[in-house]
Formats: sequence, structure tokens, C-alpha cells
Amino acid sequence: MILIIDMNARQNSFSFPEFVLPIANCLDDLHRTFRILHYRELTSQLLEDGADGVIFSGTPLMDNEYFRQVHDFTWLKETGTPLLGICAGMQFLGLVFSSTSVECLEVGMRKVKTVHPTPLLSPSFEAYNLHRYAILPSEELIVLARSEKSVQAFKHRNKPVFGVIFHPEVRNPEVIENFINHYCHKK
Amino acid sequence: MCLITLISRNPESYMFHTPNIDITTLQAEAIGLPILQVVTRGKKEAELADLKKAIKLAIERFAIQGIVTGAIESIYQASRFQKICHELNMWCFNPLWKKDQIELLEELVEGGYEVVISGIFAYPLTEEWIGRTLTKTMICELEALYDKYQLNPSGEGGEIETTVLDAPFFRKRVVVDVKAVEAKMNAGTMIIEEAHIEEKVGVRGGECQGEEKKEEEKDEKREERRNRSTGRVGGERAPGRKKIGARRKERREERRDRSIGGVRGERGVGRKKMEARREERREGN
Repeated sequence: MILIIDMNARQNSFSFPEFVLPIANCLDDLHRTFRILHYRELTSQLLEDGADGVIFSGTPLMDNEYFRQVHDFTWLKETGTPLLGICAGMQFLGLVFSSTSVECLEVGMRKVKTVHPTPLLSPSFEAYNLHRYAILPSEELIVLARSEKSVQAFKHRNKPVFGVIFHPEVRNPEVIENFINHYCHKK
Repeated sequence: MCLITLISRNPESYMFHTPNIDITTLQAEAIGLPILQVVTRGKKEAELADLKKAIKLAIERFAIQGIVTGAIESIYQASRFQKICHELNMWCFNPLWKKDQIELLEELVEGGYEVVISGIFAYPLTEEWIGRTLTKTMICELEALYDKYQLNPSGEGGEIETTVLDAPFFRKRVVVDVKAVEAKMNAGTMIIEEAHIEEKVGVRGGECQGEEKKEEEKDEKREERRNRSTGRVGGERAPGRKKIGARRKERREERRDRSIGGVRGERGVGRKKMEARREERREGN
């Protein structure tokens, strides 16, 4: 089972159908069972209980509450469960792994170039961006892809932990499919 | 809270709905919300400045903090709303974003929306479609047209334009008294010449009389739909979800690499929207 983590500040927010349901639909297309949780409900025990992987959702441009919650999730550094952060989810994971956040607005389709080979991404592609901050990855992370303005994807050096600043659920569902098929093996 | 309508003088606006746009006055009255109507010349990109002005005006008059759009797949439209909202420090909500369009149409019919086809702008749609009310039978026809011609079922690319005469949140309903149809080949519109609003049967002052049970049933159905779509029933996938998912998958797989529409044929108003999509792909924006 895959856990989808709703990163919106409020549970059952008006943004839930926009940022969480499209990810659920991608998993539905892949015939993978999933469970949706708000980030405040996420515990290490839930990961140990049999999650095959975790996907952290994005949030609206105005919702940056997750910045203030990072210190409660440093335990994510210890897990071996595959993690994929999307947009706000990427920034959240980046901060958990000691990266820096910088202001960087990108809205709309952007050209993305893969700079480090990975099963997740094709060499170059276009992707939908909707973010006002970007991540400067720490030493623990490897940059996988870039746009003209920002790091578009990273991976942890030793763990199956990934982040993409673009929204794969909008025009690049194959990125989610690759994450699921390559890393989220059924337990 | 308020409604915002941009009245475009250009019937081929890239951003805005144009057929029967004046009916929004009656719709606002039927809903019971104030409406802000701003005229735009409808020139590409300049119309975005007019949209921004309209939102600014709504902030001043109604102290709105965010806007809600009906974008489903259009990055061209959604990203422009997002940019304007960001510039104005406003929330932007797109609750229908990436929603399965057949499911959306089904929810409208089941939810009691009265939606009529007020414009057609794509092959093989013909004059007979104009003025028809959205029903489950029509949804089957639209699905078949998607399968055969990749016609966007919700008409987001401008292939179909609709007018909503009644909805669950309408206190009154809109009634069309006099209409005319102008059509040629695969393009045409229903022109509403006279219309009025009237009380709904069994409804007074916006409150249903003796229909609480019906409302409860509707609430239950809504909850059921939400559970189905989130895969959350008691924290698990809902029974029967797989079948719906399989249908969705078939439709999605076909749509995935296509933009909305792509129908060959004569077009009128919808054409500019389709071109906007092509441009969106070319410019990567």
C-alpha cells in the first residue's frame, strides 16, 4: 500500500481535490492501493506497518505552513521506506534532509533537463510548475534535474528518497509510475 | 463573497466564455450573490490585465481573499489565474482540477444541475445539439464522441458551451422565455433573447420545505462519491472502486498524451481556445 500525504495546512481543505486527488488517480491507474493521510497523522509506526512507499503532495502558492512543521518529522531521515515529495512535498523532504529553501516563482509549463541519470526521469521533458520557493539541496542529496531557474528533482545519496518541484500528476504521470514500479515493491 | 464576470467584446476570447454572457446577471440573482461585471475588449494578454482589475475591484468592494475557477485541464487558463492571484496575494482554488470529465458530468446530472447546450463549435456536433439539456443519455453520447473524435466531453477547449439554468445552490431557477438559434455546419449558438427567474417548486426563501430527507440523501450520496474518489472508506479503498478506476484508466490512457480537443472540423468561437492550447505547448507556458 502507498501512503499519500496531504501537505495542505488544514485537513479536508478546499485544495484537497486539486493537490491530493490527482495523485490518488495516478495510483488508481496503476492499480496500486493507497491510503490518504494528513501530514499531522503521519507516524514512523505507519511506515513500519507496511507502507510500500510514501508520496507527499503539493499545496497552493499561499500555503507554506509545512515549513514550520519540518522539525517534527526529522525521524523521516531514519526510514528506509521509499519517499517521493511533490512540490511542497519536495521542499518539505529537502528541509528534513538539511537543505535550504529560497524564493523562486515558477508557474506554467517549464523545460526540464535531467542532469543525473535516473529511472524516474527521461533526459528532457516539459513539466507543470507551480511554486514560489525552491530547494538548494544539501550534501546528502544529488541534483537529478534542473530548469532554467530551479532544481527540479533530487535524490538522496543512499536512500530511495526523491523530490520533484514540478507536478508529475498534471502532465508527467510516468514519473509517479517509475517511482512506484522501481522502488515501491509490495511488502 | 461575489461572482466575477468578464464580458468580452471579442467572441473569440482566449480566456473567457462569451455566448449569452449577460445571463450571468440573472444567474447571480438566482444564486443570491452580488456580481461584478467588467467589460474587456478581449485582446490576448490585455484581457488578463482586465481580469486583474476586476479581481482588484472585488477585493475593494467585497473583501475577497481568494478566487475559485472551474479549470479542469487547461494549464493556459489555470496558470494565468495562478499568476494573477500570486501578484495580488490571493488564494487560488481549482476544485475540478484533473477531474475525470465524464464523472464530472455525471455528478452534475445526479446533483440536480440543469445545464443546456448553448453553443457548439466542433465536428461532428450539429444544430440539433443546441438547446438540449444535459442528461445521462447525452453523457453517453459525449463519451462516444470522445472515443471516436477525441471531443472533449466537458467542452473545456471551446467545443461546447453551456448555460446553467438551475443548480443545488440556486435559490431560484432561470427560465428561458425566448431563444433563437444561429448555426452553420458544425458551429452555432443559442441566443437567449428573453429570460426570467422564478421560485423553485417546493422552495421558499431559499429553504426547502419538507425536503430535509431528500437533502440528507443528497448529502449521503455526496459523501459516498467523495469516499469513492478518495479511496478512503474507513481508511481503505471503497468496494467497487476498481471498476470505476478501470473505466477511468481506459479513458485516461487515451487522453494522456493528447491535449484537449484535437477535433478536425469547422469551428467558431472555440477555435481560439484550441489555438491557445497549441500555443501553450509550443511556448511551454
